[in-house]
Amino acid sequence: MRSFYAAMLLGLGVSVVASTAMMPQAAFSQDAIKIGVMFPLTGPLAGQGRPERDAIKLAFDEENNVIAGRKVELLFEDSAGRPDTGLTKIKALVERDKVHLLLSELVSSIGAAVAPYVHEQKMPWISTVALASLTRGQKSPYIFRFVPSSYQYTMAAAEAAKKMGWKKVYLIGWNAPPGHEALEGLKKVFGAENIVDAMFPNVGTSDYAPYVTKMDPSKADGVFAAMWGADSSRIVQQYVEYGLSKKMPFFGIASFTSEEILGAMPPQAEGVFSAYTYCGSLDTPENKKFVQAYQSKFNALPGSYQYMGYMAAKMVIQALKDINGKAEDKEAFINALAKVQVNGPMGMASFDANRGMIGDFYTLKVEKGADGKLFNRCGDRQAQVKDPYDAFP
Amino acid sequence: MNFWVLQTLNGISFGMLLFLLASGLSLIYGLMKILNLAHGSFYLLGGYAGLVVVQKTGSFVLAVFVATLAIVVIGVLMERFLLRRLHLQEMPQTLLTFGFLFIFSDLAMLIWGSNPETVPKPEMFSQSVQIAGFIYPSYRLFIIGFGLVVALLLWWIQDGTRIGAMIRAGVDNEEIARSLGINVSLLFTLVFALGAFLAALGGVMGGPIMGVFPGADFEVLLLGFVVVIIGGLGSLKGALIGGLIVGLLDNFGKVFFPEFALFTIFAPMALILAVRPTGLFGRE
Amino acid sequence: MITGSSYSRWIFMALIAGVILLLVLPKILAPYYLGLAVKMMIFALFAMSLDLLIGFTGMASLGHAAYFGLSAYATGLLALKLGWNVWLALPAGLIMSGLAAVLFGLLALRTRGSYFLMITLALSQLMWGIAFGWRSLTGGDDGLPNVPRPDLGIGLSMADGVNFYYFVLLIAAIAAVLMVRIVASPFGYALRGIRESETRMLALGYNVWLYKFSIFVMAALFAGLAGVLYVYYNRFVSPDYIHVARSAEVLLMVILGGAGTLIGPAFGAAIIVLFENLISAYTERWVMLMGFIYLIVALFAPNGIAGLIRDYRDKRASS
Repeated sequence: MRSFYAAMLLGLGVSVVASTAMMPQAAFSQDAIKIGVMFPLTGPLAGQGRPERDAIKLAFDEENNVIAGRKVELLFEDSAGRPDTGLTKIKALVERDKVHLLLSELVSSIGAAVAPYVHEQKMPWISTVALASLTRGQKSPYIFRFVPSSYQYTMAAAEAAKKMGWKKVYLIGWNAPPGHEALEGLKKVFGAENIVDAMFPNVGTSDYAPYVTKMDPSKADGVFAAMWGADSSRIVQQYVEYGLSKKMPFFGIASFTSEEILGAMPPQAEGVFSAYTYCGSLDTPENKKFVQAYQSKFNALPGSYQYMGYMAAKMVIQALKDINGKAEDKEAFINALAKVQVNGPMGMASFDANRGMIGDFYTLKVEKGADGKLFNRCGDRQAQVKDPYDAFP
Repeated sequence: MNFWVLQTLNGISFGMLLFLLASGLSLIYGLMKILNLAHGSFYLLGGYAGLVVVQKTGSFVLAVFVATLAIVVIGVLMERFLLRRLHLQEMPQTLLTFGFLFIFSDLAMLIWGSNPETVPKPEMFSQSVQIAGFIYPSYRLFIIGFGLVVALLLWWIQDGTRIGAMIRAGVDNEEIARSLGINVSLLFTLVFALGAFLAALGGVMGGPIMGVFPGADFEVLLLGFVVVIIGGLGSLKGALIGGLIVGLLDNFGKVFFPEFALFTIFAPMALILAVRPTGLFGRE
Repeated sequence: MITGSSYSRWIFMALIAGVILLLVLPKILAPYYLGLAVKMMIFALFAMSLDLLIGFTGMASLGHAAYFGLSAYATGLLALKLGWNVWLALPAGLIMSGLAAVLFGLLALRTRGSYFLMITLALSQLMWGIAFGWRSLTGGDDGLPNVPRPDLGIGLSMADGVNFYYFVLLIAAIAAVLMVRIVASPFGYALRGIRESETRMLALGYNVWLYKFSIFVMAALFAGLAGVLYVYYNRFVSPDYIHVARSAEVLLMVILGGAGTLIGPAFGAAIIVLFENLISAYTERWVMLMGFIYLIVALFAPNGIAGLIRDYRDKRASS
């Protein structure tokens, strides 16, 4: 009996001691600018997390990892796509590694979990989390969002489709916040009475047949889809299978046809529309340089996640230059970052008063290139689209 | 009318796919009492292997053979060198197969990256067919037929062959089977290989519909669980009926009660277990 | 458990050392590591609660995260929306877990073995579905951020990491002592009897079902306690708390540490929390590494780390 208590307490004690003993103190030089970079590097979201992290590395490599004469050190962590793991890792970066700022994350649930902590710690955090609340309910002078919010990209997609003559639409979206927010966005643009039906399958639904077969091409001008990753190629595959693609155009919201996912789309995905802040085939010197640099280094075409990471890093780099590399002065840094304007692969980008992203949107259409591979053709441009705070306060 | 035919076909084709995914799980449990958590990994690796072969050679048939063979080899190695050392030790076996789930998922990510992929359909079934006024993908009809053939074959092996008789003897009572001179250890390897084969087959056949991507292993494992729970562990008939029930319920559930889509799979399972704790055709 | 007197003296020394160490830990550790220690204690509590089922009664549940998550949601919601303090929100969380366990126990205890494993899985996935889908209440996938810190009403600020550490330590210690008392009681020995042979216990006149039901609910209450602490620790709840991946994780903590020892699972929890938070910063292949660890444990230490230590001790004692 007594040994039981003993053993138990011993266990707790020893394990804690072991934890300290095992802890390798990160070797860092006192004068380097330390930036915490956390993304999902394992698990189902690694497909977006890893490339984005690579693109951030690329942006700093272009500066030779020196800004205003100070060395830059990137400290990487893996959030595994889970909110509690993400929060613990962010604490590690802030409290253990003493980073000067965070350039991290793309997963909404992690963003929501991390925001209160970051605000309390007064830690500058540049995220690429599309969570609308980051610049609304959870807004903070320390939180920047370099990615369109769910409302922002849905409104842009809806406007683009409206310009193409769509009046009545279907929506199929994840039964998760971005899916439901997409519906609110579409209602604002088309009117609630013109949403013929809105369906919300689960994230990771294997079989979309029951949804796809409910869509009637005679009732609507097109279908919007608000789902990503493996689900986006699945829904397109099954939409095509049931012969609907010939009767009713398909419009993916946000990064639906992002380059990294395009490789997995069936050849019949040709003709799928989307509207987003990145278009891989845009013919500008800045974009060509970006695509080439990324491709030569990582042997893959960059897509929208890489663009967001790359540009978020560029914004940070410019702000650090503006304050002469004094990353310790957090107030100066966030004030500088709020004013930064960078002309990147897709043109000018900046932050609005709530620290949300402002940038150009392009209407994309999937086409088959000369090499037989699918690519995004860049169509109409919507200049400097802002988060619709008026429509969605 | 069309609506009902269409939705029923959808449910059956998904159900057949589920049958392919679950039958191996069920067979292995029936004989060896192993809950193989790496079953989903066999699906994933099979799907990826099939993808590589289709991309290199363009032949779906070849992909089926190569991918299933590769996974069978992995399965046999796993069984011969590792699992058998832990015979009837439930917890360590669970842990071992869980370790493989981790290792295979990371391995797949290392080799094939983390972007979702779709196995291209065989050329012959890449088109949709027109039946009685509606368009239906021919590949799904093919899945239905294929699933039936597999079910018949398995049934024949189980009930019509010597091996099947030996397996049934092993399932009933391992000790007696041994004393009758049946090489139970070889049977174990055979059945595990068959289970791996079926999972890999599911990966290649299901790849064009469900896709292969990081996390598919876990998804498939969960689906397989649901089917064998409803059908009953260790029962082939259970896997088939369970697959069809889940496929149809899931399909009609999503059509009529879309807001409860999260529960169309798990709620019936909890319900059936409450009424019949060992599933429809399971035994203690 | 029963060993020579030199052994118990050694244990007694270790006990004192352990208590002192845990008490002075905040003086030794930097804030981040102290936070990690809190996380380890919470998961140790969670793993020990599952050990009551797996190790002592032989019921392998793959849905234990349901009780962890349900209490976390109840406490989080009441603290966030109604401003309940910890004295009200914590018991409310426990009641939530307890009620769920009563309900699910009635269903799940109709089965045993692998069926029990799978029905607990199914029930927890249903709870996950509700947390994920009932967006107006639970915030859906994004969860509920900004849960307030526990307010004890005695002027101790829980914003201070050290105070929070002692708060968790106190609760975890009380819970651990309770669990030890449970397994060391006649009730606990009856559970072990059930683990070895249900039929024999039935023949001896034990109401096996009632024993199993009672421990099922108790295990859920302790898991619920861990969930309440976790929501105060993270200050948010999300469906991820209930997901089957978490149930699997805690199951592995138990097996890794050694089921049926209580202390082993506490160790297992500490090791896995540590591993997840430290190793992953150094290698992208930590998932594979983790897989190999499970493999090695399964093959060479099937009774977990505690089993290894026991074997070693037995060998020394016999030689």
